[in-house]
Amino acid sequence: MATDTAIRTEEFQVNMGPQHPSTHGVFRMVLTMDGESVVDCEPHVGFLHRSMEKMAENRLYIQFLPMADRIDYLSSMFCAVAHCEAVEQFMEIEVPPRAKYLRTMFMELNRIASHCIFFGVFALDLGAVTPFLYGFRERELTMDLLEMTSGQRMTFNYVRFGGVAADLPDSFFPAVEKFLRVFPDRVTDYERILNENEIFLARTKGVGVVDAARAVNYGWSGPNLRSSGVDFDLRQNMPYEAYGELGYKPVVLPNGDCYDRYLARILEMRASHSLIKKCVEGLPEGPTQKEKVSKFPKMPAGEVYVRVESPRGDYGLYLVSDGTGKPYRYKLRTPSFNNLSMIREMLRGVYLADIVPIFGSLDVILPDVDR
Amino acid sequence: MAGLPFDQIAAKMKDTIGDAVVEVNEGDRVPFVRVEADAVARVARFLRDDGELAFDFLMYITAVDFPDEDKLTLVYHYFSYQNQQSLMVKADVPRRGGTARSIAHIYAAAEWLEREVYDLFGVTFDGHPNLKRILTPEGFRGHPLLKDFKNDDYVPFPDKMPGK
Repeated sequence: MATDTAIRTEEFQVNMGPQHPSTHGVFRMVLTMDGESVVDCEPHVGFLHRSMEKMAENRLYIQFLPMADRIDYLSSMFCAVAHCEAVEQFMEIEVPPRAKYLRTMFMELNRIASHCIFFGVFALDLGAVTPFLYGFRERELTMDLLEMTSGQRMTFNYVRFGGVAADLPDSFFPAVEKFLRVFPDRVTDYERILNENEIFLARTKGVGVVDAARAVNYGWSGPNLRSSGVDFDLRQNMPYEAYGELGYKPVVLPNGDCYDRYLARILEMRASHSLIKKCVEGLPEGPTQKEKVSKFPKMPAGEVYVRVESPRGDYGLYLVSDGTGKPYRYKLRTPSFNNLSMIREMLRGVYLADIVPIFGSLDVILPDVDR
Repeated sequence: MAGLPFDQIAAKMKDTIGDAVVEVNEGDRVPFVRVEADAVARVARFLRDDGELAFDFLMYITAVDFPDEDKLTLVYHYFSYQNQQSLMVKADVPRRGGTARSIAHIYAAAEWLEREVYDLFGVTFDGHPNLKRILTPEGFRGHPLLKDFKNDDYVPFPDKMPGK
């Protein structure tokens, strides 16, 4: 009952995005607010829809190979590897061991680059500017390694059907040794900046808690799923490329809040570092490209499903071939799309200030959502 | 724990929801079970709630357009964390005005996935809480992943074009 002294409130709508610094691209939320509390959230995606699937259906497999890098430009190596693995499964090509190791090593370098961005941007969203600069500093180290081998900093176009485009240059080994030497200390720096920071803890601990059953029901995958306590990582459970030989133990955390989702990525950076080290040490000799692989493959009719563990989760490619040189159907199962679909339920009832850490902790990237 | 092999899963589906199963196909690389389009929700509930199968993770929903056969094939791909195995379920619907039961109340992930299939292929899902376009802009005409989609005459925002 409203009396003269009671404060009367009414619900109102706030538009957040698509041009908003913390939406990591172009994501729009229409928020229904009651004071500081979110009553409802209507998410709008698709601003970055480039019809990747339709483009793939209209191109030869080799023509789409550089396009695949642009599906998720922060982890483009994974998209290209999925594309090539699908083609290789159709053509029944066995990739030479050295190429497998090179792919694995560059995927892990790419994962570190992606997680460095997450670290920097997530802290920046919460108002800490220093980690942003630190994260981008270490990302440069991985970018240099990728650039000196593939010639590109972000969209590498490095993977080929049956191998990789180029062997390592001589300058790679001193550079990767330097990277392997300095990187663990830099991650320790990251942890010392944020892990026990009072403000950071207050903004992330116990915020946006998701239990395992709900995470699975919404199709979550990757670090988000593992920080809700589900012990599943394709690198361990369904190994591909060289992961089976290297062995991998996933990072699993119990709480499922924003802090655990942040910590999972920090720990994954360390895990990736040791994988890269194993790759460099155990790099087999031999060719990097299988001989006599057609650049314009004509596939047998059929279908195949390929999964790789991208930095954002379970990246899948469902490819249907009708026996021509072009894909008949090219379905991308991008992890960010499913990870983001819970945002409405996650935001109901939280405070306005918690929107940014919750959204940021999911580490979605909008080209991966919208394709 | 290792899961059942595909032929036993198919046999179990035939035993319990046999009226829904149309075809069991070992496939060349991906085995699949084809079911009736009006039974996809019943099949989904069975696959998730059966203690032995426990397909708790819906990886994706999509469709494949076959204009020559005048049909769209819906593809549901499930995965079980308990058994670490996947299962593909297909269902055929007509190309125009195709409809299937929504499974958004069984798998929350399906809410956006079904919207995507509706947006790109034009299949409607009965019982979906919020079935509208998701990737293409509001006011978009047509369903772009159909093979006969033409965008030659398409103007994104006709009222905002210069000279109008």
